[in-house]
Amino acid sequence: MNHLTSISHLNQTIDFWHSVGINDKQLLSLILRNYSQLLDQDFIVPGAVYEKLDKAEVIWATDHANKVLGGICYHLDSSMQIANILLNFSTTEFDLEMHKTCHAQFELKSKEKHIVTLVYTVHSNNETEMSRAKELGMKPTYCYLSQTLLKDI
Amino acid sequence: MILLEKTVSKLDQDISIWYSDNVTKSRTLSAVFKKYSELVETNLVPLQFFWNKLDSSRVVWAEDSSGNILSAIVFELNKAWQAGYILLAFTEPAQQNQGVSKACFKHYMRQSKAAGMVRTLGIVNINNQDTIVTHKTGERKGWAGGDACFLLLTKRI
Repeated sequence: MNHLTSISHLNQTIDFWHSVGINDKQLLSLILRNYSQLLDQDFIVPGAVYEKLDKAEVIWATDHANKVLGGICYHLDSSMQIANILLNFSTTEFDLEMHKTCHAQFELKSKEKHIVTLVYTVHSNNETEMSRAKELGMKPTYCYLSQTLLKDI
Repeated sequence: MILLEKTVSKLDQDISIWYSDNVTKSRTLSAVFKKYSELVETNLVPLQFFWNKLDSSRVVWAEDSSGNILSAIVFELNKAWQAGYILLAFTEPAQQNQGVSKACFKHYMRQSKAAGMVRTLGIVNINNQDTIVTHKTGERKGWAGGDACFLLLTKRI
């Protein structure tokens, strides 16, 4: 688990962290709860592959009390030079600024590994995720039940 | 998804027992994630979810007439041990000791046996009494870990 950066946000310091694998108690619990919510909302994309979560990399934000607020789970495919976003997870306190910082750190980590394209497949009905992804510069490419968004970096 | 049995619990509730050979394509997945999350928070399971086994995991579960998941046993066929290896077993608190987990366990054993397995197998945190009760429906204690943190429960089928 590595410390990436800190930002001052709404009178508190928010820290950003990176790890390979999901081995932190708060992190694992929050990620599982977010997946459960996505399933309840019918927002899991068809053909979701869970095995990539086993070796997924995670970037996440914590508050001054070390509470996990949210973050991003991703998988780097060096041979294809793509980075797949597996899950954006969050608590209610995780706002757009924190999301943008996580995403910026994710782009940096991807560039370090010579990744050229970010890929994020979102369920077509998941408007919140879709608009957030577009705000981060991701472009929709293909739409059926899910929409795949790409961003060259 | 296969309907295995329709029964009535001790609470006089209509229960149906189902089986799927792929937990990710069953109705239980949300409940599985939620339950594992609760167990992580109470330190009753390892801090590692079985992501790489999820797509090949099977599940037997009980649901009520509204489709609420009351109890489930997620397991894989472990060929090396010739065992139906339990990855997660749970029963909602209100349904404990009502015969629901017993019915699930019976079908988990049948499905394991039908797939050529000769024993059940599960590793349970010693403090996870709910799950131990579920396992004890048909299993016997075979071994306790060195730090007495986990029990390995097994039974020939």
